[in-house]
Amino acid sequence: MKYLWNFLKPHIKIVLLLMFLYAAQTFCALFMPFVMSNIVEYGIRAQDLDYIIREGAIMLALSVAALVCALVTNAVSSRFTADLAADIRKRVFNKVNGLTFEQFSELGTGSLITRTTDDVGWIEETIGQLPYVLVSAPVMFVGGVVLSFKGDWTLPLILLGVAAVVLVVSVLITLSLEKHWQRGDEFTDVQNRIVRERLTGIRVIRAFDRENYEHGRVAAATKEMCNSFVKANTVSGFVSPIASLLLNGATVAIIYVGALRLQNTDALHAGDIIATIQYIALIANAILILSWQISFVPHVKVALRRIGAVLDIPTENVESTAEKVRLSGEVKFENVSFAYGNAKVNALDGVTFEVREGETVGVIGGTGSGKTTLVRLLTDFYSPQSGVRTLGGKDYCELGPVAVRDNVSVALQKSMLFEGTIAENVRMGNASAADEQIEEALAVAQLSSFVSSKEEGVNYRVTKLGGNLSGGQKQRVNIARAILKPASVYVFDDSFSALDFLTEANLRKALNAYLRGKTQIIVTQRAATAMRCDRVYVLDNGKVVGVGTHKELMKNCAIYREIYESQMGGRVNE
Amino acid sequence: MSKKSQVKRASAWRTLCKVIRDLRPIAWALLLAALVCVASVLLSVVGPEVIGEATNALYDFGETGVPIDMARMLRLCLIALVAYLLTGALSMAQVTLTTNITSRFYTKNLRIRISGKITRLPVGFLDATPNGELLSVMMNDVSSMSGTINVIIDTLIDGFVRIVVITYFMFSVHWILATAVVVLVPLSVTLSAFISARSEKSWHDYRKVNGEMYSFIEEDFGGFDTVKAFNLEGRQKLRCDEISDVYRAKMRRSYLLSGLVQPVIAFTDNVAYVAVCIAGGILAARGTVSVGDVVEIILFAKMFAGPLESIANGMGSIQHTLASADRVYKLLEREEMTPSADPAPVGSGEIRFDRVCFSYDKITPVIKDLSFTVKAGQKVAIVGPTGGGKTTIVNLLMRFYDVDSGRIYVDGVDISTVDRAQLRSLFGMVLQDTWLFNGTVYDNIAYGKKDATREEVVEAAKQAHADFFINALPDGYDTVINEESTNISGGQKQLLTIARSYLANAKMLILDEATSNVDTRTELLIQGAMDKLLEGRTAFVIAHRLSTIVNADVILVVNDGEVVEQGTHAELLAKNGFYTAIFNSQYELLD
Repeated sequence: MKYLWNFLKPHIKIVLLLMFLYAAQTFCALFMPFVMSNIVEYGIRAQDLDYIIREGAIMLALSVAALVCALVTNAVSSRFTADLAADIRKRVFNKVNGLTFEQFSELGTGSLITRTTDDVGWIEETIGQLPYVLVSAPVMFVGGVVLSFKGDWTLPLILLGVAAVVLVVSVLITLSLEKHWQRGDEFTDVQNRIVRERLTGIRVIRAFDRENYEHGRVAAATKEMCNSFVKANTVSGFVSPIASLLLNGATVAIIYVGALRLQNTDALHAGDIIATIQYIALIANAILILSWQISFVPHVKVALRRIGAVLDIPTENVESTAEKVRLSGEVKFENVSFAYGNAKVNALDGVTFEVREGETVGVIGGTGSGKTTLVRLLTDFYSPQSGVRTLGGKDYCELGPVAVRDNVSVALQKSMLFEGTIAENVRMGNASAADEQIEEALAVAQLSSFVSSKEEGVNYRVTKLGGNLSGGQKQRVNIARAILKPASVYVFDDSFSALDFLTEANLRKALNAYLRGKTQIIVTQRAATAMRCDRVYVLDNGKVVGVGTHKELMKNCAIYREIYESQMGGRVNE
Repeated sequence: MSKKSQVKRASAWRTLCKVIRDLRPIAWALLLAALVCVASVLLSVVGPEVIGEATNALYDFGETGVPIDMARMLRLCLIALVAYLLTGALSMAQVTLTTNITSRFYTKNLRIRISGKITRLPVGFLDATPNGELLSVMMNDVSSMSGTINVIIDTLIDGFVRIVVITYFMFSVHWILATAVVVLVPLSVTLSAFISARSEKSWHDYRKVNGEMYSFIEEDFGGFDTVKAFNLEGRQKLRCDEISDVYRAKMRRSYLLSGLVQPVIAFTDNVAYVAVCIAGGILAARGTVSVGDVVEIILFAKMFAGPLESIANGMGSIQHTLASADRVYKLLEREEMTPSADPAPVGSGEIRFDRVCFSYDKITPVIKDLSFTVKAGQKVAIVGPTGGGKTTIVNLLMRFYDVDSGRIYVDGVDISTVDRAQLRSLFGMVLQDTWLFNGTVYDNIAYGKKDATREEVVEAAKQAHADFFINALPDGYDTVINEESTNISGGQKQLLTIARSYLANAKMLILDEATSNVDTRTELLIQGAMDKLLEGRTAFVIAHRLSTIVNADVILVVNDGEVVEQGTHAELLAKNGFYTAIFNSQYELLD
């Protein structure tokens, strides 16, 4: 809830203005029956037509005033809501963008996307209504009671009592539905999940002729979901009839009690009773709107909490103001150990790793051997719990992530393409690169023929997540982007896995020429890729179990030999 | 009217007809709801009538000073109370009826129909359609349709009945006052409908930029490591600012226009109210109408405005829904797989491709005139770069796709005539994307055979070298594999799918040797299990190991989605073509 205030604070003047405008509108609405009761008491009874017309003109003026208020409110409120929405979105987005990789991974991509889109959406849609909620129903309540008080306390009391009961009842019903909605949502998710599962596994399902079984599972989840929603919808549909019933009951009570009081006191007139009956109708309307809005409260609370959790994460200011330092391409890890979060097992365990400037070093190992973790420490996505990392002789901690990433360029395992042209994607490596440089990088990445096969050339548009490119093409665009970036160390994390051996061989040759004198670190699962490096580090279970040239490792390192033989067909001669 | 909008209108009508046609099974319930609705509307008239009468008594007391007949007052109040109670009960009955009808007999059935439809759609269509799109039709579009059915019952039926009944009673009270209401209130509806139509476009713009914002965030967060690695935070922040500004403008405009409806309605309602007060006041002062009648008209006017507003809103939501319904019916009417019913061939598993041609898009040929024969027990290795289209042959063999021309024979029978399920039961399949579902390990293996016994499942797991790790899991065979299958490793998943194929015990096999994301030891284990599975079976292997390739009886070399070469290892090497280049590149060290 802290953040509700936090979001509203910059707009507090507008909020107050809106509250005032809503109050004014409410007053106009309440005064109409009040004036009408005057018409009844003083106009009709005295047969004073001028009075009736005069008071009628006042009512008309009130209507116009209400309209003007409402139009101004609409203009202010739509601006307020839009500003607030854009603000919150920007704030959450920039916050997430400023998180460290570690903080980001802890929350997870999916969850952060939901928080920044759906959760923010909930807040956007409701927060603009807040001034109205805060003002309208309370003013209606108080105003109705005050106006209906004309020297006799019975009518306001009935009004207040019943309205309060209706308010409580409708709010309670609305809130009691939360669990049905939740259950319904849950089964919606189940249904979603099964259908998604079915669509991804369609071949296996059809191979085993299980379509009908899967269809049955979807049908069952649908039935559950339907049951929950029927309950929730039915009960929430009761709110309005119940509220109307209670308030109509109050109308009847006010007429009967009013008739009694009318005869006992001079302070009360028939017109007052008529006005009070109309206040009830106005209050009823306000309560129904309120209870409808309250039904969003649980969702909004969850959304606020989830967004708050993101905004609460402490972040350092990583804006790079310092000038770029160009370091040498010498990388040293000394006895580095690292474990993820609360994991008991180290992902990297006492790793010592040394790369001289201009060297091409391979890192090979199976899944879980610690290759990706090594890349993440190289690019300073994480800091190790112990050990020292240096780049060009300088300690990583001293340099900070931005300076490290200015000197280490990486082609990540998961090829990421952004919506835009191929040139735009490559240029992300170096914003000031000339067109020729981009074409050169694409040529090294063996993409020249692909690019020239497209009418638009380098301006060929990549769709969302590179959907219109093959896995190998995506990898190569990523490689082009990484090598375009001026750096001293180039890391390729499993970047050739989707390339056939022929393409890989050509690419590696071009790469060696293009990056002459620069350091290359090539992380791979393929023996054929590793053996073409100057030296190879073999990782297993987070430890370095061998280092040397291909020939040396074949002789000395059992795990390397195993990998080589299983991949390169050592058993052909068996 | 332009031709385009004419066509659009005609298709909207067709969709509407389909929606109505599908409502037929619940016609009786809708009729019942309508009856309940009429009854509750008729009853709701009693309240204002009685209150009008009571008000007259109150007013007369002020006029004459004669004490009010309290017994009569009590009687009137009780009648009103009973009427309100019954109205309340009927409204609740109506709500129960409509939500039940729409959810249970409409939404639910529509979703189940879509689910059933998916079972009959060709894989080609499902491949070409993003999962999110299908899910959105099944979930969002159906929801939106059912919302509208509620609107139709609630506002259109209820609203029209109410308007007719109330109009009648207002005129029976006083025609001048009634005219003031009946003329002025619909004006507000017309005005609000006019504004709604105007705000439609801005609403679309707003939804569109909202979608762009969503894609941008999804992309940025999805590529978070790339953004970090290239120090692109500043660039992304600028882009976020840009999109936010557009978003802000579109949202503001959309809210501004749609926000106009409410004040306009409130204003015209108020004007009608004022008109009734003035005219009623003058008439009452002249004594041609009683104060109670004026009060009654005021109460009726309030009941009159509500349904009109909902009808105006309801019309708008129906338009939105027609777009949804259109997507739903497009899916439901999509062409299904052509049925074929011959029984599966009996034989030892000989496969023959005879001049097979195939293309995914019917433009770019993927397989041109491919012919080869595999004798029972022989192995076919499919070789080529990743993403080169190696799975095409699998797709054709399993009839996930059908050939454009030519024939595929299994044991001499043309497979295009064979019942798909029966044909597929001849093949075991272990693919690289291991597909496990959210269920127990046991269920996932047992998926391979419909009536498998526990012993058979355990035996299959043993054969696949999976038994030892399953027993090490917290609940053994009853361990539930979670939604993302993250509680077992990639290699274990692969072993489970091998176990599944053991259990299915088909005479032919389709195997993908790729074992990515597996540590070396598990890889050896998987290879061992695969080799054992291959024994004595005709097999198509998407080959990654040299031994498989060299020893294969037929090698198909696939590149850029095309079969470029075929033959045995020796034959292909002799050709000195693409195969030779791939083969040699593996062993060539860079200089």
